[in-house]
Amino acid sequence: MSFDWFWTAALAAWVFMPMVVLFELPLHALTFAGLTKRFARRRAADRVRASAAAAKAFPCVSCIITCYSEGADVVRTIRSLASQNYRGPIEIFAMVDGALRNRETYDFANAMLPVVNGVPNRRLRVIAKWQRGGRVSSLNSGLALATGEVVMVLDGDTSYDDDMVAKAIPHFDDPNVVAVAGNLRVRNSPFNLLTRLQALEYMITISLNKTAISEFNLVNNISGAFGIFRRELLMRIGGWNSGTAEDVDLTLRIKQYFGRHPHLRIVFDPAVVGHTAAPETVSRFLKQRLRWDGDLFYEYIAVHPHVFNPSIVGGKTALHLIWSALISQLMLPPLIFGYFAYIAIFTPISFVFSAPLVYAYYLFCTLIFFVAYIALVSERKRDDALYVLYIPLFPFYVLGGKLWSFLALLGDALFHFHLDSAMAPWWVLRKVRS
Amino acid sequence: MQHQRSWVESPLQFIDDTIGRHRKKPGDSNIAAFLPFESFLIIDEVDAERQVENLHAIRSDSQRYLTPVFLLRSESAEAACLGDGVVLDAGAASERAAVIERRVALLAELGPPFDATDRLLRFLFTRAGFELRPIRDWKVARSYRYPLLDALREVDTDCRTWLEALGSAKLIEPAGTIVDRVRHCRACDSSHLNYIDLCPTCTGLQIKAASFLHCFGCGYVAEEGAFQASAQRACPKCARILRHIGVDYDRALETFSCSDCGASFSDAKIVARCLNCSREFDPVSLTARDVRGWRLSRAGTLAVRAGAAVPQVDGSLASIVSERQFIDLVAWYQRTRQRDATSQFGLICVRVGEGDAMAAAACDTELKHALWQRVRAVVRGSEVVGEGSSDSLWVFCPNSDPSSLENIRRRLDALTDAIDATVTGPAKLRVSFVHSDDLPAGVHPEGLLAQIARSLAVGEVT
Repeated sequence: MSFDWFWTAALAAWVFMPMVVLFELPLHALTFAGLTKRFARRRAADRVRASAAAAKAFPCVSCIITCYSEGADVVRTIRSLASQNYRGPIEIFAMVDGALRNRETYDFANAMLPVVNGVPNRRLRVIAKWQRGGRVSSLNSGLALATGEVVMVLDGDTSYDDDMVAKAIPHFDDPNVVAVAGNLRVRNSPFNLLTRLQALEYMITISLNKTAISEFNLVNNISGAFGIFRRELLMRIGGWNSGTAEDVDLTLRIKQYFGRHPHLRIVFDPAVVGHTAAPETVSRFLKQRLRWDGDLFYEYIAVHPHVFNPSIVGGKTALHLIWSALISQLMLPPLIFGYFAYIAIFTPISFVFSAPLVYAYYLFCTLIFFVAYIALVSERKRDDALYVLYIPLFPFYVLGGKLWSFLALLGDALFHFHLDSAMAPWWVLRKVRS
Repeated sequence: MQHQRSWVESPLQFIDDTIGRHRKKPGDSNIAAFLPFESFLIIDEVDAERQVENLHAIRSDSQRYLTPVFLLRSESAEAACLGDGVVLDAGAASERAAVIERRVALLAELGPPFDATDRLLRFLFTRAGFELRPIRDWKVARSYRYPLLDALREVDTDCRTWLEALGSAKLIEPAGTIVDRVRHCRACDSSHLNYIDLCPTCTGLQIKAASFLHCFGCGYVAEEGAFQASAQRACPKCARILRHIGVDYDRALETFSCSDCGASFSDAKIVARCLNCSREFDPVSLTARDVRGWRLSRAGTLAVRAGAAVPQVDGSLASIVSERQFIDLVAWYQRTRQRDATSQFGLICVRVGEGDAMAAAACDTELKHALWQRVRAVVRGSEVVGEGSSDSLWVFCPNSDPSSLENIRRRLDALTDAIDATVTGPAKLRVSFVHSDDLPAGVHPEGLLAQIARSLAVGEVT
């Protein structure tokens, strides 16, 4: 009897294990270390941050909503901002890009003027950018008009909890805090299995993971759908840059100050909550991830390769970026793709033995993370606990995402997909300096 | 020249009598422009102003206003409102004049017209299908006027009020499409309005527009001035030279800033300021009125044939008759009372304002109209409400004994009290009553009404 198949399977498993040990376990360890640190000081810290009355000041907050073709959805966004229980003034800018062709969005936003302007301490301005200039031009135009000390950057189809501003502003009592990354939840999660899996992904990769790494000032991205900044900082660094992935670009540019100013902080607060709509069809989901993952290659390799330099971003940040961005997001997808290709071509039988091991490993990790999320992070425990039913499918979802990520990276590297972004018109993108 | 008809005794005399009064300077004779015929005139005049001048003179004459007058050459818009059209020759004029003459003959049994309304209705009756048309005139407060009304009206008659009364009485009806829609000041009814954009925060005038540029290269957005540090337009962030709009940069947005308070805004506040009385209003709150043509209605035709403008007394809020009609009604009722001494009536005068402030209160036409509607709503449907002078309203209460008159008085007192409590300034109602039993015999209604109105003006309330 030949046991070649067994040794082949064992070999395949051994190929997989170093990948796990070298790349993933350190990140898992970082996550749990961060959660432990947070748990240890949670009560005191959360009491201060959660209480709006404990805030030392109530500065004017400028909310810049980037609108394009949201249509009636923009009403929900504006209404959720007008309903904030924050004691200070809030000015809301609904920047309607390409208002000439997006007349419906412009009209819906205008319809909210009497509603918002009738609320004390709330002011809405609907700014029509008749000629489309792209998301960055909307952001920078809003920044040019904003008068608040704190600027919030929000999507036109994302709504926010009533206490979002009240919970975000106290972070800025610390003069070292330059930005707060908000926590996003999937609003349409019950729609189908795909949206539920995305909701689970947001819980683990955004809510849980960012909560943990925020303890070490290692927040890797301030989402463009929900970012909160000191206006002074934005003015100093010249606002947003043209091109796609402007949120990643801005985060990396802020981190470039960390080398010289190690006391500066970017905070993630899971209690500062926004609700966004996730893609409901597979095609739209794949298109979104093509943009997200492809843009990562463009930003890290083409635009900001120097962020891996410790002297620029600081040693801790550089190490984390190497691990989480360069290795995990840029190198790992091709490795996973190559691993499966190798097995499929040379030792297909070993897949039968190694796949369950790999699956068991990721299932275990997901379960551990999910329990940690429910116990330590979730503010809607009863609603979120039901997602335990989808954990068995989650490893397949992640694997599919990694394989697609490889294709996205390849596509951007070879075909420059970032130039075909929907975030800006072609006549702007072609002028972007890479 | 054809045999002259009696009702145009002498064409030359006719011209001299009518046109001559309107000569601009001594010796200025435009008699040569006239071609007097048997029963019509042809004006051979090119100058539009002279055409109108001559036509206006003819239509203003209470004896000769029905004369068919044609123009030999082209007619101006205003001349078309006054004349009977353009003809090529006397033959055509004669045919058209004959049509008018036949209709004039239908009125031969009627006496002379008793007022301007009667003259207007007769004129419209004799010109089948004639449209009372407006013309735009920037010199008048309401921007539009009706030349025919200007020519036929009494000296102190307001044409808009007159036209509305005719429409309310259904003696005329809308003709054709709406010519224009004009917004009027709510205080003085002028249509000469200036629309000003102001700062929405401090309502100051010192606002200026600011244009923001967006650099395609780096995405930077700032005011246009920030990009013009040197002779060439360059981005202050990435230093890229911006040569071509739409290729290197675009105008991201335009906004305004106020020099007085420093506010920044996208849309200025627009107010309408009346150039006559200087009051300011939100443009949405301005009184909008349609400007249109009018023609004689069926009721108007019947009224002309009957020889009297029958008031539309239907108890609706809109039925406020003219002063003439009201006086005629009172006179008629007095005559019936001579036959039947038991019939009785009451007269009520409602005046707006108080003492010297009456003139000011009367200027606020919107408020006055609202007050009149409230008075109309208080009285019963059987009472006839008539408009007196510009600031008074009359109520005729037929078959009313002193006790029922007292009931009406109490209702009006309650109304005046309510208005006095809520409306500040000169807009207050003052009421005077008189019962037929208290009237001296044989008093003429006009004199009676004037006497009661005077008593109110000096503060005596009966």
